[in-house]
Amino acid sequence: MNRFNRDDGMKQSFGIKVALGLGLLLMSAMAWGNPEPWQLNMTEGVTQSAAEVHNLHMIILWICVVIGLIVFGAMAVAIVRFRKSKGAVAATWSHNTTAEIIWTVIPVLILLAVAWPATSTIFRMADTTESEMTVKITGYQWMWRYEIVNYKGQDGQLNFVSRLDRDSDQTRQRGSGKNPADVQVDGENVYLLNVDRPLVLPTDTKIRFVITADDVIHSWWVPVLGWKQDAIPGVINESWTLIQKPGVYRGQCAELCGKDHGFMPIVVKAVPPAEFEQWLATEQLKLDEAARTAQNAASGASPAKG
Amino acid sequence: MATTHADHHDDHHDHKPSGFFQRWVLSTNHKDIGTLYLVFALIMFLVGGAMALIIRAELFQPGLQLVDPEFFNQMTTMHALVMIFGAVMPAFVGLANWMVPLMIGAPDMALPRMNNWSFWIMPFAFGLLLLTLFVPGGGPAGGWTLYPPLSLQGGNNVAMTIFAIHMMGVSSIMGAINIIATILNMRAPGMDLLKMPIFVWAWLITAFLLIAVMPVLAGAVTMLLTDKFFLTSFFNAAGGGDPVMFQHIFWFFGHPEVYIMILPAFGVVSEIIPTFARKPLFGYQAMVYATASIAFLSFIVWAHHMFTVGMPMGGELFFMYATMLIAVPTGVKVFNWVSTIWKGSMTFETPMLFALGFVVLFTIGGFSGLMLAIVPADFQYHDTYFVVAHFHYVLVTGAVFSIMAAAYFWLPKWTGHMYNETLGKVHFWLSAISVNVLFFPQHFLGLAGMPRRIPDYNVAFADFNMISTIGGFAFGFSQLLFVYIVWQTARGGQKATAGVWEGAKGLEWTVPSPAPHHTFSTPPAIDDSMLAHGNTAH
Amino acid sequence: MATRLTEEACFRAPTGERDIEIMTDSETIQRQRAAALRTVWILAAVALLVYVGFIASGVLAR
Repeated sequence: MNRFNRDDGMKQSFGIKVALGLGLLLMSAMAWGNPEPWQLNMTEGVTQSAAEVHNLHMIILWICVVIGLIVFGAMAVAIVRFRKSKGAVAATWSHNTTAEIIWTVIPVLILLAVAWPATSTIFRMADTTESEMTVKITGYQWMWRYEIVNYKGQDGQLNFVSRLDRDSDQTRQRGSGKNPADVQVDGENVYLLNVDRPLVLPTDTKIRFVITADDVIHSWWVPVLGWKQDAIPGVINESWTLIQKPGVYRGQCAELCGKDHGFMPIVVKAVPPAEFEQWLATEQLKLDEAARTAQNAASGASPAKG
Repeated sequence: MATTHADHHDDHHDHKPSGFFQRWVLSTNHKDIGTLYLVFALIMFLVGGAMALIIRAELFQPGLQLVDPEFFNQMTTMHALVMIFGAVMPAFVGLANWMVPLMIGAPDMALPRMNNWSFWIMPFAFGLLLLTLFVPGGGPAGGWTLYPPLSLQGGNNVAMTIFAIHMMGVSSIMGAINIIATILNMRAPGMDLLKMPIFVWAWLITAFLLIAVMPVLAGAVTMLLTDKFFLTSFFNAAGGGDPVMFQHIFWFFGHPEVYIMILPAFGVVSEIIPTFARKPLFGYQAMVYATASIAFLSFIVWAHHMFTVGMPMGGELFFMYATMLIAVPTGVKVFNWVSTIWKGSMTFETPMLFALGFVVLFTIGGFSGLMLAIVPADFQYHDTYFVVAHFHYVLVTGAVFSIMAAAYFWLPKWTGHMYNETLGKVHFWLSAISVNVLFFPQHFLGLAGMPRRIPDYNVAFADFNMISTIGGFAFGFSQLLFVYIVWQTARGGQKATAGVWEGAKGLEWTVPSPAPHHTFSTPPAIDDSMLAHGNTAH
Repeated sequence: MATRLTEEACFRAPTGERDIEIMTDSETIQRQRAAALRTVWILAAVALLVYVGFIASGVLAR
């Protein structure tokens, strides 16, 4: 009296869709500076670290795809062949110790194969020694402060705050009437990914970062550099990068830090070392002038205000 | 004379308490308390779902159209708290309450009165939590993970949220104690541990996890409370404390917590698949050991939620290896499910559709989990939509699908009526398709660089966000169909037999449908052939 | 005999008690419940220990 003997097929076509989707993913391994519409895959980045990370990502992705095809394939076959409506009669066996051992040991071996390159990348990414430059990054609610602490042996005095650019900030207000698609720089949309003062850095230079925060936990992330690191009040985290290609690279805060967590982006402008040194010198001059002006104003005509 | 006596006896066994208050508020009956949990969980699922739709509605297009960032953060925080503590966990506890005593031949839970308290704390806890949305300052907005210092920047909601969490914790701990005491002591004679239904094993192990880690969460939020109000500095660097310590303590709870939310799902699926494949569960003992291994391993992987926090290299390596290792017993379970259906004789009623959907889609969630385990890769995935995609696959197409599967599977036993099979199938297909439209694109968003917990985003992320939102609304409205089906089945429908399903085996299928108010008041005589795993030789 | 007691208990006792009275009617179940109560105290102690222990660890870590 069991009326529940109806035909239903499903997993086969779903499995094929998954495989196709992932195939698309695998083919789309391009290096981008910033997110592209319809982007499917992780960036290859502009540093060796980013390239290694992308590599590891592809390895583990491929492994998952292959295992998935095997498992979902078997399920699809079973669902088609072993249906009561097709007259299948159930077997009675229900265990096989050899099988259990095989499908325990083989995954362990696969994982060991992945753990090996992952471990060496971790080692490389943790090595901040022999850097030529140190930059201090401090996260605030809701902006970043950058200080060039040291460049090639010289102590720096450059210290500035980097905030969401005005165009984005005005556009993002609720009911602003402005269109995010219109926030552009050189024909590229930079809505919520632009700042008033970018961090300029030299290419082909090992740069060490010391990262902290002033109030709550933030996280500094530029995808093309290949890593992110939390900025924690009371803690100083270390990281490093060596940028291989000049360009403008954009990132965002990656740890919930309050109402404007989504509105404190990061812009790194990577330029050849000569250009960087020029920039540094110019900024330094501006600082000196500003200090002189302030001094003059303080010791000038008006008496000091309370 | 004897017959009349027996009738009277049966009558009494179905004699329910009179009056709403007596029956429901003062219930000490595992079936009624199970129903209370399930109804509560369903309501909370809709509440949490509404919050999700607010989130997805705002994320439909770039720009801020509907809500301010502060409220958006309250929605993401509350959505998670409601879904985790109000929907998924209580639903599984409801399933345990209903089915565990029936499955082991016990008359009720070991401590029926404590069982009542366990449930009734929950509406009060959630009343308090949801009330935060209406007090000055609004609800908690620092994420369900409550990281300080951010979470302590909240106003009135801090104390209220913490008290609510304490209440939920007490409820869970008492419930877990009850379950262990019941399973270890109240089994009918002949129901050996390795003959128990796998759902019971899953819950036995889950209950141990609950007792081990809910007090840890309680400790963590207590320390938050004292930091906020009693001048301690556990997590305040300026006072000599460490914000990262909170993360360690929280995730020491948090990781086993996610296994608490999935092990019962494994149990449900391991009951349903053999039933509709008409073939015994493949590798019963291996399944038990795999579940126990997963539970044990879940204690030593917590820092994989914190790979970017600045851990020493040794720590990163250890947690990476341990996390990768968890894939192994999980894989064993998936292979065993596939082996169960292999050379079976399957039919595809709604419970089986959800169970098979679970196996495929949870596995996809498992794959993204394995990817997240690789530390250098995680540096790019962490705190992006890739993580959001991962945990929604394992929790929605995993835990929630298994709860729906269980509901369809056991509704006839609970209500005495068959649910409408056509509607059930429609619900399944609508859900299965829309849930993938909702969450699969989020993998791409994360890989492209979209962070989590942001109310607005660059136009590059617009296309997949729009698709995801469409999927979200489709999925959300499909669940109203589920509510209708459950309600309709409770009210009436084709009468269900005791056995309900052709391939069903176990003590729970020997009692009438609907199950009488009192069952197994005297322990049943157990014949191994009645049990799904009675044959110890297999 | 057990059946009759159960019946009487059913109609006599208030609701909540009914479930527990029915349970304690059977000797086997009575023994099981006694053992279960012991399990409960042990587990409750474990839960309390974990709670206090983690707060203590937070204090000691400072």
